[in-house]
Amino acid sequence: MYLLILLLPLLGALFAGFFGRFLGHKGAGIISLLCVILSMLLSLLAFYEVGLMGLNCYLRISPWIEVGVLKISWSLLFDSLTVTMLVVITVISSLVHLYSIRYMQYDPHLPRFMAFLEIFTFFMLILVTADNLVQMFVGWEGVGLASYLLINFWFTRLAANQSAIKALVVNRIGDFGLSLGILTTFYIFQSVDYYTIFSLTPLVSDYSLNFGGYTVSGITLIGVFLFIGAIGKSAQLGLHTWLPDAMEGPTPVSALIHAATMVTAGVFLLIRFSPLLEFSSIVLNILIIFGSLTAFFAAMSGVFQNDLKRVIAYSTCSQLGYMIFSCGISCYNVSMFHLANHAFFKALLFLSAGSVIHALANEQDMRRMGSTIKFLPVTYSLMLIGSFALAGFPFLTGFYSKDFILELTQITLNNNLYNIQGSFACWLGNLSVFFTAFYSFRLIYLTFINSTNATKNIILKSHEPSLYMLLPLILLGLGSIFVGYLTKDLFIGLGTDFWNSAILILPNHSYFIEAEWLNITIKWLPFVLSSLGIVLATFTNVRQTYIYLYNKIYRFGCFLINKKWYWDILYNRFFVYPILNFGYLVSFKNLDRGFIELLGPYGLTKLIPTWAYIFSKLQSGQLSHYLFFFVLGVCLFIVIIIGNILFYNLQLIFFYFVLIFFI
Amino acid sequence: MGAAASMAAPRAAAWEPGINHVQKVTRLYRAALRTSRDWHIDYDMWVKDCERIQARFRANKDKPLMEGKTLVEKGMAELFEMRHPDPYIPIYKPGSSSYQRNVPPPPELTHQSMPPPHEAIQ
Repeated sequence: MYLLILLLPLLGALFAGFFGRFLGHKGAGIISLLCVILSMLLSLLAFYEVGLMGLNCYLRISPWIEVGVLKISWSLLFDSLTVTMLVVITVISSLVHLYSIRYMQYDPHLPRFMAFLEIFTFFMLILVTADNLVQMFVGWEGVGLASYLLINFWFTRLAANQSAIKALVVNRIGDFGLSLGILTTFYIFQSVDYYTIFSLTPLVSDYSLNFGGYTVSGITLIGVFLFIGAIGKSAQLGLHTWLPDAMEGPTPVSALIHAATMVTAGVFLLIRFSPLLEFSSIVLNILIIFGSLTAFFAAMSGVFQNDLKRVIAYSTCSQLGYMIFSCGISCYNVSMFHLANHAFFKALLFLSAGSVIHALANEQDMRRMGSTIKFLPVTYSLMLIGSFALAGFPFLTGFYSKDFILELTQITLNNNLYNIQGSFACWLGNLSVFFTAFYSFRLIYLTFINSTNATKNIILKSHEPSLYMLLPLILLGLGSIFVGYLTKDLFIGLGTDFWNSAILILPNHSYFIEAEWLNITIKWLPFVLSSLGIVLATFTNVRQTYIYLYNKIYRFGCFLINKKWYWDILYNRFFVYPILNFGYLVSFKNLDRGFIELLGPYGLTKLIPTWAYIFSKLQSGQLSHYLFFFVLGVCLFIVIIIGNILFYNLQLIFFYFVLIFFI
Repeated sequence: MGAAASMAAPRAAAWEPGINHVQKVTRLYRAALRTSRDWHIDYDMWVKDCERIQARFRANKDKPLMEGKTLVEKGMAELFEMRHPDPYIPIYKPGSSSYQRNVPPPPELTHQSMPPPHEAIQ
């Protein structure tokens, strides 16, 4: 059963990919959907067996690499963390598959699309079920590849090519950090198996490495490298630029990969390594700072975006920031809970956005939408549920995880905890709540409620999507309402034993009891800020005041935020162009084409004719010239023999002279 | 022209070299309307702003050529200042979401790669 969970998506990918032409659109769609639904059902069984019954499962399939002390095998580890991820991945993947069959029905390459989705699902399952870092890295790179293929699905689009390459290259930086992390782990622990690493961590917590006189804790170094990997994959501040551009892919791709599953791989990695990260306060502080800054900047960037999908993409980036800083304050279980909840409401938001785009003839700019509430009432209701869940409206799914994260950060405001970073996260996290509510409801107003800006032709043809597309939306809507409430006690309940040994929280990092006794007025803060955001969005859209339009400061702010804080421009100016110039001028023109080519075949082919020409000049036909060279040769011969007797190194010096002469 | 390089093509038409004064005024007017549309999310409010822009152009309709040229220069500077960071582009135009999506191969290639009609799979 456990093997089938992984193999079924692979099977679906092979069938849809290689036999798509024979199976046709419908056949490829049905086969891939069946495979992933079966995988989902088995994942639910695994969740029952491992998560609820507490029977961890470990499968060793075959040995893989055995070189000296490095022993890696193909093994699958099913613990409560893995099975939770399995359920999230397969449920969202199944719904996205079902949605895609109808959403992409007019695309000539549907079988290829389904095959790519299945490949992604397979690699994501490899990533979460791995029992060692190297196997996990296979999945990690696999999902990166699948992401590239799916962003570039419409490969005739230049913009899609650029975005796909950008996603791949930016992720390579993170992957490089992760591979360094794997190497450091092996250097310190002599193993890459999770359980070996985690059981040895307390013993090597004092181990340090020396870099040119600087001493660095081994655990901290590993943690930092793993976090660099997570920055890339989970689009944290610094390497986040690929995520908004990744919206070039079809909308189901955005829902599955760039909202619900792949981008959470970095968070999953950090949660998986909680037994190691807990022993390095430096890494935890870095997580808090990066996570809270990402949450804040991404939430602000979402405010002035006009592309429907980009707004939701920035929202994803912001929510990933919440998950990361939640790990930083050692609340890994809450982070995982938010990951699962976020998957439901974010997939709902993306798929609903897809329905709107579908209805409005592929229009994605919110300035050309409006009034769609009259034509798409069900989509509107579902998107409203998603937006309320995202804003953390009480008793919806987002509320239980997001509010709890903010409550936990509020604990760190207590002076006796000496946790300044936690206070930083608390401020930025709460401010982000305000912006999240604002852009979510700005989206609702611009898309559904404001007077229409679309043309008559589009309006006349717009309609609710078919049942194939609505069913996943309705199921995700139900998930966005009930999942948080139903699983709250299981995942983050006080004293829950669900996580067993999958997550480690040191007792001095645990603030769960304090959170229960937090002042009730402070607990209202996120709700108040969220309501303020909704009210402000309503005010700006209902009153329709444009006085601020002619304000220079407003326009500057609008530029700054709409242009993503000029991150791309700064990167291009300070990193991309200098590196590109270095690559062309130094490594290509001087080294590859210069030095190496001159010493290689190209140099020889130039050198031999040149010297042949020079030597041919010696054949002058005059006896005096030949006599001169003859005497010169004899003299040199005598000098070498005498010199060899007198000076030991003369032969060598002579050899060098000849070499220099020829070169 | 340096300023226009940072603007979307239809909004930068007034900067095109070699056009006469009338063309410049017309393109400036159209670009002003487009830029206004970029900023406004409500159609009725945009129409009001269009009336305001039109009134400004009409007020200067009968000005002498030299004065008109100065006004156009000022108008272009204002247009540049009021440019939108993310101007609206119709979906099938370059830079938008549906441009180049599933472009069919050129017909000459298709004809070459197609089997003769009697061998084609029906």
